[in-house]
Amino acid sequence: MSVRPNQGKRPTLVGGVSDTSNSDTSSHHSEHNHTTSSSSSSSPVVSPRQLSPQHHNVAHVSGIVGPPHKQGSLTQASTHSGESSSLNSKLGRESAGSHSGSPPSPKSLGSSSTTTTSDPHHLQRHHYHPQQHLSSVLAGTSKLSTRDAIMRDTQLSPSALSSTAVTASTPVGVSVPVMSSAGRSPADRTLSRDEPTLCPGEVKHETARDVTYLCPYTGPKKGVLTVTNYRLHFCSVEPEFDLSVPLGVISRIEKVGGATTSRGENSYGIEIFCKDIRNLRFAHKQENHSRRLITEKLQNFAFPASNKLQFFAFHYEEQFPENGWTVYEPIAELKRQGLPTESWRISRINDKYEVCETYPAVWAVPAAITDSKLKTVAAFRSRGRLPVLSWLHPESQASITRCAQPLVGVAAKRSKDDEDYVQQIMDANAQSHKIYIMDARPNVNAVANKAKGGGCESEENYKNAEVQFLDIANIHVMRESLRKLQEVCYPNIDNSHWLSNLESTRWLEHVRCVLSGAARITDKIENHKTSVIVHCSDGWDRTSQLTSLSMLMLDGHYRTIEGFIVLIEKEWLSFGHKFAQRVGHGDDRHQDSDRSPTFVQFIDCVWQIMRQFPHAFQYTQDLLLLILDHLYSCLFGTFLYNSEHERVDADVKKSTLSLWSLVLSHAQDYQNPLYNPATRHHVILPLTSIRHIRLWDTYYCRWNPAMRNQEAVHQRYRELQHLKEQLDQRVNDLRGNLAARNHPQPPSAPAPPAPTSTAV
Amino acid sequence: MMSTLKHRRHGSTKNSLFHVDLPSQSQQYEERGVDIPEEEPVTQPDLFPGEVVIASADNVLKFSPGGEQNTGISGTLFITNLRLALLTTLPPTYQEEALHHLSLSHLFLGAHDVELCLVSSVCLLDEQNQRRKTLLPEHFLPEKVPGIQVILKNFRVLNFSFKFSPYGEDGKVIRALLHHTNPSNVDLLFLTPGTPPPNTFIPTFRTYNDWMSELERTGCPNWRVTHHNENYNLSATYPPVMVVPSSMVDKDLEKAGHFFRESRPLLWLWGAPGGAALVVMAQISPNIPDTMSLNPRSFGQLKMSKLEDEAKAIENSVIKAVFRSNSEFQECPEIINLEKELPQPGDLQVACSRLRALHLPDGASASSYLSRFESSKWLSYVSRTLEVACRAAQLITEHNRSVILQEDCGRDGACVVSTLVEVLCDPFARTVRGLHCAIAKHWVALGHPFTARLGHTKREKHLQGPCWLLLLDCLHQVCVQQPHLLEYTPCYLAALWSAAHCPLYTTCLFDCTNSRHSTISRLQLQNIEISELWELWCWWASCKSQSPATNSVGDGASQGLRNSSSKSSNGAANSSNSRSSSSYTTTRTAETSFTTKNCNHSSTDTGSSRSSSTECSKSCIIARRHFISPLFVQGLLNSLLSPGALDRIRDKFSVAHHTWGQIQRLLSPSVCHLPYDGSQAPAPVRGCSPNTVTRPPTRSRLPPPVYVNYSVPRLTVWVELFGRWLPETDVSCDGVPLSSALHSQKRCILRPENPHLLFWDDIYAIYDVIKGYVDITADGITRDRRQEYAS
Repeated sequence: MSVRPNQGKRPTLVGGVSDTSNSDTSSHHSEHNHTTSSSSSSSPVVSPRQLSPQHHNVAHVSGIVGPPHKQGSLTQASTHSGESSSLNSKLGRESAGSHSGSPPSPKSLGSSSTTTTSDPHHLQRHHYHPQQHLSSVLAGTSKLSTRDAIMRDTQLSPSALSSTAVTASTPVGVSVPVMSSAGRSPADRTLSRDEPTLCPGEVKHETARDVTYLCPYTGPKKGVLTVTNYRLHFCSVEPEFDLSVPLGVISRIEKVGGATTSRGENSYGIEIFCKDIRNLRFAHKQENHSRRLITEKLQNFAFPASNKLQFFAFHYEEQFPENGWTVYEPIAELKRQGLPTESWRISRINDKYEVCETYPAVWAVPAAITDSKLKTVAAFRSRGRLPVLSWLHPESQASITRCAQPLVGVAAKRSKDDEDYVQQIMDANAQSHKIYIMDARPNVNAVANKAKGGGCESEENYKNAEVQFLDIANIHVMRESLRKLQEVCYPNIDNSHWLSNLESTRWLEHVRCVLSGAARITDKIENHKTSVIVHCSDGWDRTSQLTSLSMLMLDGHYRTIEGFIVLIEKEWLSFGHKFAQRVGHGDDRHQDSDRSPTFVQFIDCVWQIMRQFPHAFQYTQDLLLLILDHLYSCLFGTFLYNSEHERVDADVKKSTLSLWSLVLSHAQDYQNPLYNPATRHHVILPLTSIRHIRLWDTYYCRWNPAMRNQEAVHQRYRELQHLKEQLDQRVNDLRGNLAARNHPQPPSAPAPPAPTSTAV
Repeated sequence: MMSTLKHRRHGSTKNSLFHVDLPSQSQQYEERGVDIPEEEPVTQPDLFPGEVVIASADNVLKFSPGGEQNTGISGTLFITNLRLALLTTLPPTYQEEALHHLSLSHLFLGAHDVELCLVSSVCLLDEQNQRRKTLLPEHFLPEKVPGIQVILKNFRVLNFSFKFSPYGEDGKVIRALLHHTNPSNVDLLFLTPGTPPPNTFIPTFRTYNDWMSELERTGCPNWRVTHHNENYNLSATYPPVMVVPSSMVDKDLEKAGHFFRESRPLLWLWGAPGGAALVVMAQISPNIPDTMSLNPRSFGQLKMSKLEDEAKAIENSVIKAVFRSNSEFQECPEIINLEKELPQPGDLQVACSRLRALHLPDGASASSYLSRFESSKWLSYVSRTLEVACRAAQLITEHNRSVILQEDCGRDGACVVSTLVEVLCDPFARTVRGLHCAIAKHWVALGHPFTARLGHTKREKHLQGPCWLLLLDCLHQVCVQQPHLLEYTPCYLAALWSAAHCPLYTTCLFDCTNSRHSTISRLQLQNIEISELWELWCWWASCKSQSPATNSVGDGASQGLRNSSSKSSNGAANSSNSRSSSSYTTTRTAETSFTTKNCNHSSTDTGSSRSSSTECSKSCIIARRHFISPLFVQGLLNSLLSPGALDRIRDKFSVAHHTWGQIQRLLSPSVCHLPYDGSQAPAPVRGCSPNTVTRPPTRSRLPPPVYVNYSVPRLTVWVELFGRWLPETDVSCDGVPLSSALHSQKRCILRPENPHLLFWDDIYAIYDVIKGYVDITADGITRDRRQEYAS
C-alpha cells in the first residue's frame, strides 16, 4: 500500500507534435462531459448529437433539471474515436497527479481515503484498496477513472469541503474526515451507500430514508439522510451522490411546507442555510414523519452552545503525528523578530489576563515604559487594549503596533501617559521622527464614536503623529455585503448582469479597501521607515486584518506554512478576534448582529495577494479553503471561543485537537510547487486598484459546477517538477550505463541502452 | 503644478530630466547608471527611406504615463509621416521599456516612438493638465498650447507639455500630428523598412499551391481550387485563387456571384477529413446592376420579387453544392447567420471607444469600474462570439456537419468566427505558425477590410470596428482557460493588436488582396522603390538574433534567453557588457545581412558603441520568452517521456523526432527562426504527425474541440491590455521583477509577475537534460559503429 502500483507508468502520453495537444484536448473534453453527464442530466438518453455547447451551458448555469441518464454511454459516445488516446492521457495525468505532489505516504493514504473508524468490522468493509482500484482503472474495466470519480465527487458533493483542487488532482487528497468519501472507489462506495464513514468520536443519531436532496444544479436525488453529532450526511445510489456537511456550518434550519399546505412534489421538507455560501434543501415524505426527527437532532447538534452541549471538537479523537498547539510560541516568535532589543522589551504584565482580558499573556512594549504606566495607558484605551507591538522591521526598526481607539469622548479627554507612550513607540525607531496612526475606520465613523466615549487621537495632542483614515467599513456593512454576494453567486448566476451585480455587492470594493490600507501601512514601514500604529474601534476586527496583511507583505516568514499559522495564532487568535461571536459557533441566533465575515475577508485578501504573487507563498489556496472550512466545522478547537483567556479557561489545548495538527501532518498537500524561497527576503506590495481585484470564485462559487474548470497553474508546475526528476534519473542511469560500457565491455555491445519505463 | 517643476539640466541642452520632489524617481535613474554624455545634440531621428520630418519642437516634456504629472522626461518631439518620435537621452520607464520589448515594432522604432496609425485621438490639455477637448484637424488652435494628450489605440495615453518649447513650434507640431494621423489614402502610409528576412514559409493564399496544400493538409475531400478570380473579375475582394465545391463549375460560380453582396458567393476556409467544411458566404442581394447583364432581354419585365426568388434559388444551389461536398451526405449544412448572432463592426467600435474612455487615467473611477465595463458590452460580445465558434466547432467535429457562416459581405464577423473555429478544432492553428497561417487565410485572403476597420485613413474613420481586437480577446480567453493548449500567450496577442497599427508591417494594412496589389503597383508607377513587404510573421524571422553559422554566438543567445529578464532590469549595466563582449563584433557582421533598422534613440546616449543589433536581439529574446507559452512546451516535453520515445528521437520518421525538432525550434533561437521550420509541411489536421507508420491516416472523426467556457462570469477582463497603462492610485508599486530579485539578498519590493514566466528555467533545465541524453546516445551510436567497422 505504501507504493502506488502504477508509479512507473506515468509517462503514458504517446505522440508527437500535435498528438499531445490532441490527447490533451480529448482528455479535457471527456472530463467536461463527465461534468455534464453527472450534472446536467437532461434527458434519459442524450445522443451526442444533441450535445451542443449551448446545451451544456444552459444546464450548468440555470440548473435545468431532469431525470438522470446513464453515465457510461455518454462518456463512450462523446469521446468517439479519440477514446483510446484520451484514456491514455488520462491515465498519464492521473498517475502524475496521484503521486506528484506528495511522495506516496502510507499515512496520508490511509487517513484520507480510508475510514479510520474504531469499529473493526466497519473498517474492514470500507477499507480503501488503492491497488485493486488502480489496477481496475489501468485495465480499463472501470468506466470511470479515478479522476472522473473524484471529479464527480468534488463536483457534486460538497463533502469535499476542503480543496477541490487538491482532490481533483491528487487522489491522495487531504485527509480530512470532512471529505473522507472523496477517495473511495465507486465499487467500494456501493457497498456502503447508506452509511457515512464516521470519524473517530462521531456517533450516528438519526437516519431517514426516502429523503430527496434538491440540488440546485443537478436536480433532485433520492437517498438516505443521516445525522451524527458532527455532520449531516446524504447519500443516494442512483445517481451516485454523496453530501457531507459538518453541522458547524449550519446557521439556520427552516421547515418548508406544512402538513396541510404542501401540495406538489418535494414541497414538504427542510431548508438549511449554511455559513459557507450555500443553502441545502431536503424534501421529506410526510407519511414518514422523518422531518420532525431529523430537525430535532439537527437543532440539537448544530447549535451545541445554545443547547448547553459540548462542541464536537471535544469528542473528536483523531491522532495526528504532529501537534499543532505547539507551533506558536509567543516568546519564540518575538525572539525571531529580534526582541528584546534596546528599545523593545517583553512584558508579562498580562499573565493573568488582568490588565486586558482580550489580549494575550505576553506583550512586547517599548523598553522605556514601566509596567505601572502601562496600566494607566490601558485605562485610556477602549477595553484596555493599549498599543502593543505586532511586528518589528529587522533593519530599520520601524514597527507596527496595534491597539483600540483612545477614550477621547465628546469632552476630548487627554491622557498624558498615552501621548508619552506613543512618543516612546516613535522613539524606538531612530530612523524617523514621525509616526503614523492608521485609523481603519472612515473619518465619520471615528467622529461618531466620540459619542460613545471613543474617538481618535488628535494631531495637536500627539506630537509628530499623523492620523490617516483608511475608510474600511464596519462589520455590519461587511456582513451585508457578503450576504448580497451570496445572492449573486448562489445558486445561479445571472450572466448578463454579472459584473454590475458583482459590483453592487461592493464586496470587491471592500476587499480592495482592506488591501489598500495594508499596502499603505507596508509602504510607510518599508519605504518611509516610519512606525505605524493601527487601530479601529476595538482593535480586533479591521485592526487584525490590517496588521496581519501588512505583516504578510513585509515578512516572508509569514508566507510559509508555519509562518502563516503563527500569523493567524498571533494576530487573530491571541489578540482576541472574537471568533465565537463573529462566526456564531454553535449558536442558533442567526440574526445576531455581532456576526461578520471579518476573517473570511482576511483570507480573501490573502488569496488576492497570492494571485498576484504566486511564487511568494509556500502554501496554495487549498490551505486557505481548508482553514475557512474548519472555521465553521467545529471539528478542531482552534477557532473556538473569543480570546486566549477563554481558551485557557476551557482548556482547549488539552481537550481538543488543533487544526494545525492536520495541516502540518499533511503539509505536502498544501505546498505550493511554484514557491521560491528566495522571496522570503523581499517585500511584496500587491496592486490594489479594482481592476486587479478578482472574485475568489474557487471559494464563493465553488458549489456551482459551471464555475469550475480553470487550470491550476501550480498543478502544472508540480507535474513539470516531476518530469524533471524523472528525466534526471533516467539520464543518470544512462550515463552510468555508458560509463560501464566504455571500460570493460566487448565491442559488440547492443545498441544504445533503452531505459525501461519502470526505471523512471 | 507646473510652476513647481525644477528644471535640471544635464550636459546637453536639449535633454533633461525634470522632476518634482520625488526622490525615488531620480534615484531610479541614477541607479540605472545613465550617464548623460557630453556629446553633440541629436538633430534628427534616423529616417526610413521615404520618411520625412514634418515638424519638430524642442524641449517638449513627456509625462510619465498615468496621471502623475510630476515626473517625466524632456526632449525634442518630431512628427514624421510615420511616427511621433521623442528624441531624448533619457531611458524609458520600466513600463515603457517593457512595452517596447514586447511590441513587434521594436525592430524599427525606438522606445519613445509611436506610430501615427496608433493615435486614436489628440486632446488639448490646460495648464493644470486637465483634458479639455478633443482636437480635430479643422479646429482652430489657441496661440499657445499648454499641452496635449495623445490617446492611442492600444489603450495607452501620452501627455506632452509645450511649456518650455519655443513659441510657435507647438502649433506646428500639433497640426502636423493631426494632419498625418488622418491620411487620405493608404498609399501615404506606405513605407518599407528595408529588406525583410528570408522566406518565412507562411502561405499567402494567393497561389494555387497554397490552397492546394491546405486542402491536402486538412484532408477535406470534394473541394477544388479555382483560378477563376485571377483578375478579380468574379469579386474584387476575393483572393485570386479560391476553393469551391467540386460539384460547382466556374460558370455556376460566376452566375452565383451576381446574386451575392460584393459578388462573394462562397469560399472554403477549413475542413475536416470527414468532409465537414467551414464556408463563408455573403448575403444575397439581387438588386445589383450586374444582374442586368445576366439576362438583359428579360430584365425589364422581371419584377423585383422574381429577382429575389431567383436569388433564393441560387443561394439554395450554392448551399446544395456545399452539402454535396460532404461525402457522408448526412445532414444539410448548418447556416449560421452572423449578423443576428454577432455584434456588428459599429457596435464593436462603440464598445471599444467606451473601453478606451474607461481606461483613461482620469476615466476610471474605482467604484463603478465593473459596471462601466459591463455597460461597454465588450465581454458579452466576446462571450457571444465564443459561443458561436464553439457551436460551429462542435458541429464540425462531433457531427461532421458543414457550417456556412453567412454575413453581410462575409468579411468581418466571419473572419473572427472562422479563425476561432480553426483554433478550437485544429491543433496546428494553436501553434504560432498555425496562427500566422490562419491570419493569412481567414483575414488577409478572405479580405477583411483592415484599412476601414482599424481606421487607418481619414475617409473611412466612420467604418471603424475592431473585429481584430475581438478575435484577439477571444483567443486571449482561450489562452487563459487552456494555457497549455496554445503555443502563444496573451502577451503575443496584445503585441499583435499594436502591430496591426504599425504601417511597416503590411499584413493589416489593406482592405483586400486586390487593393494591396493595386496600391503596390500604383506606388511602383511613382518610382517608389518597393522591395518585399514585411508581414507580421517577419518578426519571428528577424528575431533570429544571430546567424546559425556562428554557433558560439548562438549559444550565447540561448544563454541570454535564460538570463534575459535579469538583463532587462539593469539595461544600462547590460549595455556595458555588450560593449565589452567579444561576440559583439561577430554578431554585428552576422547581422549586416539584414538591414534591420533600429532607431533606438535612447541607445545614442552610450554613443555608437551600443549597437542596434544587440539591442534588437535582446528585445527579441525577452519577447520570445513572453510570447511562447511554457505550458505548451511542457506538454511537448511530456510526450517525450513516453516509453522509448527518447530513443526514437533520432529516427526521422518517428513522432518523437518531430516533437524534439519542434522543441528545439521553440527553445533555441540559433536553430531556426520561426517556431516552426518553414521548410516542413505543417502537420495535418488529424493531429498525427508525418509518421504514417504508427498511425495511418483514416477518415476518422476529429478530436473534440478545445473546451471553452464562454459564460460571462468565466471570462476574464483583459487587464493586461486594457488597463496596463493606468496608474496605481494607492501606493506606487515600483518594484523589481522576481527573476531579477532572486539573486540579491538585499531586501526589496517585488513586482507582480506572470507566474508562467518562471516555468522557463525548469523547461530549459529539462531541455538541457534531454539534449545531453541525445548527445550521449549519438556518441554511443557513432562509437558502436566505429567499433563495428574496426572489428
